[in-house]
Amino acid sequence: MPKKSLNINPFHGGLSEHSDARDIQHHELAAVENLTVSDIGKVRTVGRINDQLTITSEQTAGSGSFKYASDRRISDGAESPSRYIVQGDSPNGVVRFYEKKADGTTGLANQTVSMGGAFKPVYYYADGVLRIHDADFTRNSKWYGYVDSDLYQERANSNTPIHTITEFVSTDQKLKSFGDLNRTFEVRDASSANPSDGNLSTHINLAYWTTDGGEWSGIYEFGVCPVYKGNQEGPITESSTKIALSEDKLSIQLYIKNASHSPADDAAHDLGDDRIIGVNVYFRENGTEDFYFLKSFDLQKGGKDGWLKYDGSSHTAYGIFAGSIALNADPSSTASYATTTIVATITNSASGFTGRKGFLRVVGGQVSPVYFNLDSLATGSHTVPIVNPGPGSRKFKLAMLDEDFNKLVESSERQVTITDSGSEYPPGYDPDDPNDYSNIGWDGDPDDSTGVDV
Amino acid sequence: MALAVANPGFYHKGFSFERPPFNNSIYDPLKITEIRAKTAVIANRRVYLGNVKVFYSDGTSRVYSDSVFKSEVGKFDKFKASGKIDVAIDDGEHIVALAEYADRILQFKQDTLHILNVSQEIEFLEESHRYKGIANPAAFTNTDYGCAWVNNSGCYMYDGKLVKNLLTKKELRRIKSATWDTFITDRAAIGYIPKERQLLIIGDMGDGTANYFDSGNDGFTGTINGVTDAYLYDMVTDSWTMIKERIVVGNGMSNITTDFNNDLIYWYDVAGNSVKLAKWANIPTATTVVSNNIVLETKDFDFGDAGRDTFIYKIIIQYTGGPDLNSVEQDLTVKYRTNGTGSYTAFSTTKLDSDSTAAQTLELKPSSTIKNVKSIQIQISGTAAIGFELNDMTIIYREKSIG
Repeated sequence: MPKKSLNINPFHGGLSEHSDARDIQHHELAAVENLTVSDIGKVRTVGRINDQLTITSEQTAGSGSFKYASDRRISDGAESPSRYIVQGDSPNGVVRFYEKKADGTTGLANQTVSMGGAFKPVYYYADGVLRIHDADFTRNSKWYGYVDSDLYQERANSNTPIHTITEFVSTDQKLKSFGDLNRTFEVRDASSANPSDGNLSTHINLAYWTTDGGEWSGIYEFGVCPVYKGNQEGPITESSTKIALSEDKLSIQLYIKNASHSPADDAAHDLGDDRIIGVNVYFRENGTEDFYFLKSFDLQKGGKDGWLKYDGSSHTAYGIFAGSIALNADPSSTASYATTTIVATITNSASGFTGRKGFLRVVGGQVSPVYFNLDSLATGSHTVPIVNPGPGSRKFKLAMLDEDFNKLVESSERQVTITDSGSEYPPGYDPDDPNDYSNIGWDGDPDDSTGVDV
Repeated sequence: MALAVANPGFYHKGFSFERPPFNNSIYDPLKITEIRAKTAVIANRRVYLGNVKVFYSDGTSRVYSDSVFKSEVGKFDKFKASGKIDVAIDDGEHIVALAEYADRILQFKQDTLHILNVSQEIEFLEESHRYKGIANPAAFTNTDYGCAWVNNSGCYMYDGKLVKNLLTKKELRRIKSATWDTFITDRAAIGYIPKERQLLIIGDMGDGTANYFDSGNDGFTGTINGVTDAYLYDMVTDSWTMIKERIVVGNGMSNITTDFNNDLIYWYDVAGNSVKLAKWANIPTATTVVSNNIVLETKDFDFGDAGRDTFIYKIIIQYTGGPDLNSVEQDLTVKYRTNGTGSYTAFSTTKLDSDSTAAQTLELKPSSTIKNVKSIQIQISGTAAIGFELNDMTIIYREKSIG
């Protein structure tokens, strides 16, 4: 028989040691150690572990390593895509971060997270925040992420924040109530005065006042919840104060005790947790169980009116109307159905009305009431266009309203004699149109006007 | 003087409510104030926490080792009692780890794997697999092709549809169950090498005891202190190789992850209050810190006719060695054995010891012709330089006529 050759190649079947070596595939191997067969047609020395970095730390076997990427750089807080390998120093209760910056440089970040003692790390990362749990259930779960809060943006100062926090924060993951955070909450009657210095020893004051004409009737209680980053609402903290209302309209204003901040000082949040971005206010009727949502306060932008710096020693009377409104003269024309004007005179000695707006409500004209926009609630005179009613003795009356149509002050009635101009109809009235101008024939008595209580 | 901020941002301006808004949402009391978990996974903008201790607002707390709690959507710190998911409770096992792949959550218990479908608002149990649990959270890893994990029965991959045991090929086992069972301890770990599409399986990460991998201690299996063994599975070629005394773990290693460049890494503890970050290098650098010994044993070739006697004259090997670096010197011996039994015998005094980076062709002859054998098996062993490559082996033989 002639000689033959048997070529042994490839090898990529790899290890097959379970079956008899005679029965394995041609490209399989009965034993293979420290070689790799991943390259078709050849076998080569397998890879190995290289040390990349040595740090001062300790490592418990089995856990502790985690990788994530962030839009923020831990080392300086800059908005720059960065990547991290986390090392959990279990025996010493410390989490360390090995950072790779956008420019490719690497190094141990200058920040760590303390777990407060030995722990067994479990991680998860979402929305830019690393959460660290202790699988031994001993340590509080931690939240580590970048807080970028422009708090209390001041409307009177071009929406500049009164306090900014722009830094990586390590805190308990638990969503705590204001009570848990040692922050107090109280409901204050601000009908005649805003919260005082003494009131502001309480961290959160819900100031309220009432006006007539609403449907709040009963005894009410209030509670507040912190809103954390991610729009996560924390537990409620209730006030012991109960307020009694009777057919009232309710107005509320939130006051938060504030340290004197240099805005970008990264000082601690006044409400005890840097993650808090809002306050939700709830109410319930006394004796019932459920709280109902009333109002959400955004601690950053603060809605269209933003936030206001408030001093409890000097601002208690600010914004509370002090003065009068008067009709000191008849309309400039007293002819029936004449298009004319009437002058309202406002006297307001209170401070704190800068920027406030409102309305004048005029009762007594052919169209009644009419609302006239006020660009200022300060002392001054305002000429309001009206259409006179039909001839006869007519009553005119004014009220000054705030932006929410809450009555601030009203005038006394003024009796005006409207003379017959000879015009049978008010201007623009079409007697042949059954849908037109139904108010003709009203006797001009403000008390009988179209349901408006003046 | 007491300072405050007020909202709305005018003095004595309020938000006004004509009537109590009873149509608004009702406050949902936060009965769960905190959860501490042994495992966590993100899926569909929620976090799922498994094997947890729950702290309630009334000051009580309770451990749920069989339960999963999910957060509200997009609210990764807030949990409700209604978010509790129970698959199998009081079954003598607890949840070890949660993994996510393809809208499924893999709930690993010690013996059992439950696969939950989380593609809809309500999660539901899709499958349960006995004997496919894991002993510790480092025993699973995510890959771009599915979730892989190891236990003492096998190495598995879930691709979103099927659970496949990677130790078998065409229903045939490739590594002996006894070998695997000995190798895989309760502290086994698995990691993924994305660039190579390979899985690295380490049988023992250590138990937290200093010098656990030093001679005389329980984790020590070889000759080099602080170094242990592993298996490497190649997903492309569907093949296994063993890595012997080549994985540095010091006093013990962390779970395995990947680094910034998607290279496999882990941390390991060394003496002197130090921790090292270790990275897998597919192309090795020379070192004597780990073993450079290789072993290759071929199939026991019977030349297609197991009953026929054969004469073996020589073998021809094409290989590349490499220069001596850091005291790692290419020095491989080629041996053979016949008929599938006995110890290996060296072909000749000629070795694969070239320190050239050029391809070498060697003819190796036995001291005398190997006569009347039914089969032959080749073994190559010794120290391999980092550049060692074996390209071909050719056996020159003659079959004896049947007479």
